[in-house]
Amino acid sequence: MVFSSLTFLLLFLPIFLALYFVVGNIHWRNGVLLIFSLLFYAWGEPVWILAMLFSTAVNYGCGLVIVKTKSSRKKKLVLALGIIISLSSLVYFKYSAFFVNSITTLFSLSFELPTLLLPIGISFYTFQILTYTIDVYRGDAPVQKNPLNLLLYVSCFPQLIAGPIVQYADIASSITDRESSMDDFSQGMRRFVVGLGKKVLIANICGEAVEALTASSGVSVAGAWLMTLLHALQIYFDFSAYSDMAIGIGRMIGFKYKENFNYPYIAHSITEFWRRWHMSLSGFFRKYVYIPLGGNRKGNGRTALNILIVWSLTGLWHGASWNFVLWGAYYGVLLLLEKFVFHKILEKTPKPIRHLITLVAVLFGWAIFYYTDTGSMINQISAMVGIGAELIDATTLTVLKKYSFFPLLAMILSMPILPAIKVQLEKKPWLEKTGNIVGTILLTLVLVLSLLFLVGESYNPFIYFRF
Amino acid sequence: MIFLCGMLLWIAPREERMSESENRILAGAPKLNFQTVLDSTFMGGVERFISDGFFQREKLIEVSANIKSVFNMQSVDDILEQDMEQAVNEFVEEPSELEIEQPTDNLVDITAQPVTAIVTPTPTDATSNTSEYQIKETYTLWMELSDGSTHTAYEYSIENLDKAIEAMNAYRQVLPEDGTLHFMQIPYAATANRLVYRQDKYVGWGCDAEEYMRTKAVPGVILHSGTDILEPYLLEQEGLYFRTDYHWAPLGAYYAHVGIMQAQGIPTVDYDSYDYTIHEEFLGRTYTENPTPQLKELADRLEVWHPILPTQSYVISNLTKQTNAKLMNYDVDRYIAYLGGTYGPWRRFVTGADTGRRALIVSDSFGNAFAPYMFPYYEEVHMLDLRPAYYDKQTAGASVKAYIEQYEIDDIYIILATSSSMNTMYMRNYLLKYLE
Repeated sequence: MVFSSLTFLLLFLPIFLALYFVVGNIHWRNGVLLIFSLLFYAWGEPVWILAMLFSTAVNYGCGLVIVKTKSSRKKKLVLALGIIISLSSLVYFKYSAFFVNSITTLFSLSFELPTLLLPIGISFYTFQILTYTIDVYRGDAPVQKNPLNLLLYVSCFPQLIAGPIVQYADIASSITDRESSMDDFSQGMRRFVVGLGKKVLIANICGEAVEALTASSGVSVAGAWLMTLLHALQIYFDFSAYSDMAIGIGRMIGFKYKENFNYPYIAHSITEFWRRWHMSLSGFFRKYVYIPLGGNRKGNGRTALNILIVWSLTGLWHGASWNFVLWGAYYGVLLLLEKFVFHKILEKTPKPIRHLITLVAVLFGWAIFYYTDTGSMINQISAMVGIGAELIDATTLTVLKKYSFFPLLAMILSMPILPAIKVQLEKKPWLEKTGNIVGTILLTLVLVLSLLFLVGESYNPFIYFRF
Repeated sequence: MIFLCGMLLWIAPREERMSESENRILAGAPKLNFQTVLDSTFMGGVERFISDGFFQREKLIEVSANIKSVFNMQSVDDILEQDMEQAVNEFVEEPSELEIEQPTDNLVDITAQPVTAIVTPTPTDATSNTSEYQIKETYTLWMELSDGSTHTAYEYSIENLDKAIEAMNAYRQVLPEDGTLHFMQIPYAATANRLVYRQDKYVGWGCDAEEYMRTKAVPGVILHSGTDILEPYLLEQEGLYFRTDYHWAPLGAYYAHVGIMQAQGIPTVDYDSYDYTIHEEFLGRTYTENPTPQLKELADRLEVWHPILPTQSYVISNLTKQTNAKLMNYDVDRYIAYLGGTYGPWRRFVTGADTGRRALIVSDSFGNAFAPYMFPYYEEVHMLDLRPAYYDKQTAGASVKAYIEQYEIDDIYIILATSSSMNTMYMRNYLLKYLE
């Protein structure tokens, strides 16, 4: 089920919230949340709920064994078993066809493994369940003795399908002990509506413009840059919208999820960009891969290797396709260049130029990310650098005329203007009060417009659903 | 607010009904059983049911289109030249009560015309043609500009053209010996209307894809060039295509049929021999997608054809199950007036023309304005639209080949818009997939 569908907005969410707040007891509330979470997951793919149940059961067992076992060697073995089984499921569904077909292509074999249907959200929930077992092993979180509570952690519908990736240690206590005040509910609802507006009013319209550009037969220089820029806006507003909605629903019911985005397009370096983009994924890789590999504590050579490993995995996590591997490696190399080669030059470079360089590098990154088909990717990048493409084409002009307003709005909103206004308003109480009233009116307008735009719109899934 | 809107869901109409703005039937309640839950078709059906059943849906869609159009800085010319192929979502309507058209005063005129059986043209020798023909890397549909240059509107790979002609050859093989298969590709209004309204820039058009496919066609497969046939009319007069819709108007369909029939040496019925119900203020899909006041001023004239002979219209499913259906819908001022919209899986028209021959028109929605003009030449005209929204083998109950045999089809006409032709799954895949 999609947060931005009428079914979710007008049926699922109201019924869930009504039932959730009617039952007062936390155990009953968890029961309601679990049932709705399983229903939410099963709505799209009822069969694949078994894969999630299996993964949860394995890690539940591993957690229990780890705390009961005294021997650290046995603990390590059980941890390894939990990780291997969980990742095997991910590798089987997501990567088996990719790996096998890459090998058969390499050796010119005729055999081809059909791509399996990917259980929705498998990359997200697999990482979440891994954080449980690892956190328990490290002693960062208590073992969860109630299997239903662990299942609730894994399947919790606000962040089940497209994150943010929640680490068990961060919310372990909230599972059995959380409160939601009226203010939490109100703030959560506001955040949810912000996310809905970002998705429906901006990301979907940028997506329409991207489709119009990609459907055109020829690619011009302007068209290639416009398409990449629009896709950059689309993916940011789409993915951060989902995070906003997840964080918003979580807050309504008492969970405090960590932020996943912090205005990434204002970054002045690639390192900073990745501190602001998909922070929960970067956090996961830093805590569970980069630091255990030695991080930056074992010399430059090892640091470089660790960065490349982490970024190859980050690329691969996004999808079983060579463009994602290339995309991850691209960022790995950029980060290495920034860290070891250009850091002194960049320090002396004026901020606006650093910002521009970062944005251009990120846009090239999105051009790699967008195309799973290598030929189209090469055409797009060639057009961006002006190879074999006319300067501007008719489709680009059409898209500019038809879609310029919402992407312009998106560019403005991708800068931290609203938080800056909020800070100014908070300085004077009467201004803050007026600001709250204006904010409420604007959010109501956003909700009405979003519902209006959703009526008559066909399926509009989030981009990160496919990961 | 979401609670309030949630409640509005329950007072919205629940039955299947037509969306005039989207040219399609809105979803009814999905079937609930173990299988539909397991394969999640039930859930998909619920989503569509809720979305399609939203309170005051048509009005809300109109409002949101109007809001979007406020931010749209395209001129009317931009909108009219814009390719609508990405936005199209066509209409299908369930069969309803029997509707047999009554004869009109023009009955005498038509019976006076020398309507005869189709004369099969001289078979093409595919092999000899191939040897003389210089194969190009790609083939195109192009616009000729006033400065002598050309603008490529569509590009066709040899692979796609080979697949298309392979499918057409296979269809020809299942016809009787004297049967013929005719093919015509129809450009959209946005492309065609440039020859009418932008003659300052565009002076002609052409397509060489048919030329290539002719070299591989088996005898009895006749490839007509839609661009060649329509070009002189487009350069001389208006009204072959709508301006506020992406379809051709009946006049365009009429001239296409004239071209096809003349190529076979068959005299045709005059356009004015038919009676038409006229709607003067037709605003089509191009307008509903871009509802600007300037475009509204260009409202089209919708001429809805009346048959000359008493004609019966049916929908056929499971090969032989026949349900009565509207021949035309004279009450609506939309393109779905023609044949009442697209029905699946098969349509059958018993035309009253005693010619002893039967035709099958394989088409998309462009066929709906075209088919009526074929009625005088065939005692039965059948229709088939292989797009997934309108055709599935289970409901059809048999392969196309079995249908052709069952209804003793003599000739096939494949009439497809550029959105369904050689570059699409329709010709590359569906035609052959459903033949056997």
